[in-house]
Amino acid sequence: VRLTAKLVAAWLVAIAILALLFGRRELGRQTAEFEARREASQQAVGRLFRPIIARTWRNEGEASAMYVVAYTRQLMADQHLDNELALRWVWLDRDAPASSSPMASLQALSAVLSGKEVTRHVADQRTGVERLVTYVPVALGMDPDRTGALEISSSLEPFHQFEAATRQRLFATIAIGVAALVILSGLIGAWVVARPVRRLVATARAIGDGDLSARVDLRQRDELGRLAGAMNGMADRLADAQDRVAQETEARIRALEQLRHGDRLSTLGRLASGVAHELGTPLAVISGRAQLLAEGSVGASKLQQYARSIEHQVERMSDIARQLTDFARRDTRKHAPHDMVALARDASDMMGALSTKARVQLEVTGGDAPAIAVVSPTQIQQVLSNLIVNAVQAMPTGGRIAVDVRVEAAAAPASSGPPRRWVCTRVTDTGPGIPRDVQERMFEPFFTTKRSGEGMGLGLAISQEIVLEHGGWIAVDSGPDRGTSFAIYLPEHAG
Amino acid sequence: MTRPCILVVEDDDAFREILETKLTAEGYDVVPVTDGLDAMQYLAEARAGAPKHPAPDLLITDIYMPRSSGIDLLAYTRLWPVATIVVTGFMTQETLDEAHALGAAAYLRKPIKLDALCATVRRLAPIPNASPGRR
Repeated sequence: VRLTAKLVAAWLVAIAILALLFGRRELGRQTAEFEARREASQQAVGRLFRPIIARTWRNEGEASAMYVVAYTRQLMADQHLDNELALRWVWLDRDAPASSSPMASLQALSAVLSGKEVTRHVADQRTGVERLVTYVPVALGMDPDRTGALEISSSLEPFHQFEAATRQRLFATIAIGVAALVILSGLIGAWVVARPVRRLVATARAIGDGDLSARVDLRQRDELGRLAGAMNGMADRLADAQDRVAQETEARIRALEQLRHGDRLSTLGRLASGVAHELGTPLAVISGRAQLLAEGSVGASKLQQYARSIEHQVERMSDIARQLTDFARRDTRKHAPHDMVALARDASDMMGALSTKARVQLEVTGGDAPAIAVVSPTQIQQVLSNLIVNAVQAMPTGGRIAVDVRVEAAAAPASSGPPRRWVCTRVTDTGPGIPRDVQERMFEPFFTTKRSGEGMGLGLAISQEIVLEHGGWIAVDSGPDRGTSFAIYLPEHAG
Repeated sequence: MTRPCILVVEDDDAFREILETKLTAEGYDVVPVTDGLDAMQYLAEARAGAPKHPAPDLLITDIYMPRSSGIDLLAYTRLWPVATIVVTGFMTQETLDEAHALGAAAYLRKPIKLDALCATVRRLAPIPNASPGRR
């Protein structure tokens, strides 16, 4: 719409300039024509009077000739025609009296001395009005030093007035025309351009805001009409694409649900085989002790040791049962906003004795800014303790564990969403690092690198379950030169 | 008279001790180690003829152990074949197939019958000049 207005304005300016130039040229042409006619009539009058004056002069003397001139002049004045045509007798002498010297300068009249008619523009010395003056020489057949001439003059004042008035009318006409065109093009622009463009913009906004059913109905066979058609086509395709995406998403969700079902089954399978394997060894020990006892070959001194061993294996199996219950428990009732720095300090205090005994230095850093997450404090303590115990065990000859809490912006793994803010708790040790093949499997239930009876391989699996349940994840960074760092990412609780 | 030697690879102290007790009573020399890596080290030294490292006539191994698993050990023994009995709590079919492919002679599932183990051991590593059954 603005573009249209600019174009229209440029056209109007061009038209106005053209009209002005044309008007001025026409005016100039009329002026020239008027002056030419006036000059011709002055010459005609001069030629009419020239023989009359000459004959009168010769036959009746100077006085009679001057009388004819004066009488004619008076006659014209009486008829108020002296502006139109004033007749005078002039001497083209240097010393002619003022009453009979020409209005024009003598230099301008040199051609008259050689018998030619001359017409000049002269400003009236008394009134300052410009006059057109024609000099017609009159041959008197006397002293060649004296040349007389008829001076016929007309005031250009009326014509100048006419010219000024015409110019004013020209300007006024152009101004009115331009104004009318502005209003007209505004109206036409509003009807032909602005109104459909507004509708196009409104429809585009509606589509942009997600209303894919919005269409624009323009019955115009111009570019705007085609634009409307293209926009409708685009909306159709968008609606189609949205439908397809919706269908595909639904199909994908169904597939994912099936996958998750399958995943649950395979998790269950892994869990079952893990349980079978874990229970296998204590059962084998109990069974073996019992068989040896049954053989009757065990000495009395060893009976108590065998009984204690069987008791110990039963405790082991109870532990397994208890940990499995923990693994299966889904307690989300006690979730509340907690400061992760405080939780990290609690966990560090709890593990203080253990780490000191293992000659491991344990310190908690962070807490400059609040790091609040909605958590079950007991579960998160369990995760932190587990990571700290693992770190202590990874450094049998001592070392250092840093627990650092800070808020970070990050994108969750396996998520295409924009980064958001997470409370990140990093447990970093100075141990030997974790081999890559172990890293790949260490979150599986019952995967362990510890000797039988020292750990079941559920610690990291349970920790990961807990963190996932809190809407976060655990990241691992490990290498032989930089130790191992487990990072717990939990969604930041804002406000 | 030399007694056949059995290398017992088991990470659980209590169960390893039971195997050691039973097999020693059966008339075997038992070398107990705690995982696959220790077993490989022993086998390498025995092969190099190190003193007090008799070459084993039989291998009894668990599968899931720290550091190096029973499967790794089976793969290693292909360099120097030795009859092997796998004794473990649970194996997936894949692991079982793998153990067979690597030449495991027998598979016993925990908890085991000690008599059944002894029968298999006697079959694979007979005691010379001894009547079958108890000593």
